[in-house]
Amino acid sequence: MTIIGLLRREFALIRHHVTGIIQGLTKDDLLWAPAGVANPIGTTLLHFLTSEDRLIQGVLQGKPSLWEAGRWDEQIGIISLPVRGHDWTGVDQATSAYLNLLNDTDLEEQVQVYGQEQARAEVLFSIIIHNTSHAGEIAALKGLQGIRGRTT
Amino acid sequence: MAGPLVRALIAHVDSSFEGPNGDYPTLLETITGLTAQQAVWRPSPTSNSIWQIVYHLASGKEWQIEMMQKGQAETHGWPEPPGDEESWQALIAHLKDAHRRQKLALGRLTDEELLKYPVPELRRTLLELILSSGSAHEAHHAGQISYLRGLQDA
Repeated sequence: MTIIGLLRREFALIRHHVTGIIQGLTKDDLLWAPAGVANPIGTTLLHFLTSEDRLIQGVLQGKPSLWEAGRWDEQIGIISLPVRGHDWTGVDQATSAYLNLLNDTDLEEQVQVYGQEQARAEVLFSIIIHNTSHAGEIAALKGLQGIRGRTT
Repeated sequence: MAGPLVRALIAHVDSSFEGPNGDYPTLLETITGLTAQQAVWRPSPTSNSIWQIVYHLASGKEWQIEMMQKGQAETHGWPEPPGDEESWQALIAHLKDAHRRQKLALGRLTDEELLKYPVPELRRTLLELILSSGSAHEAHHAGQISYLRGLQDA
């Protein structure tokens, strides 16, 4: 197996994991927040989806993000939060399509990420850690609402 | 010298545990400065505490080490924490030591060994088994710890 193979496998695992966590969430679950300054689940979900979208499309490929190209802000409004079956699958598929273009040599290439030079592999691995870290937050917030963190 | 796949895996393991990474906290950062009292706090009777999550993650590393060295490993539960400061600090030290030994065990593998089936009936390669309790798993629980800290203003 190659390193790009490892990355594809990790992305597939986190898709399964995150899908299991957000499956069945209602609009009320997405908007609920505990007392204090904690973000609701929907805000966290929107944050990591758009972060991945911006990194894969904009930073790594120089394209408009799916969010911009699809005019999602107009389509759903910032308070209508993403659910699986809408924009979530678009980000998922766009990342998979991008990974399919790469080989191990591409992964070693240095790219500019928000003013810092990083290996492409490092950027892609960071998306995995970023998304699963927020998935953990979502699982904790589900727990506070009496819902099991991951049902699958 | 470890192959490219093993080296990538070790870098991945390090990024979620102690960095460097992006703008999100590593596991070590999420537990830095916490007292035993904060670590045993739970938001509801059925929730896990930070202490239990840290124990689970240290056990996950031990599980990986055993799997890499013996081809089989025992799973550990989610025991109730003792609750005193000395035990909490000992658990953090154990977690750091397990991480060090996990990397040593990884470094002794070849890329080819990662793709073998250590337990044929599981039908999962060693790499798949490692990833199932690896960096993403650790980052998931670091996210939970961050929230449990936030709920305590810690």
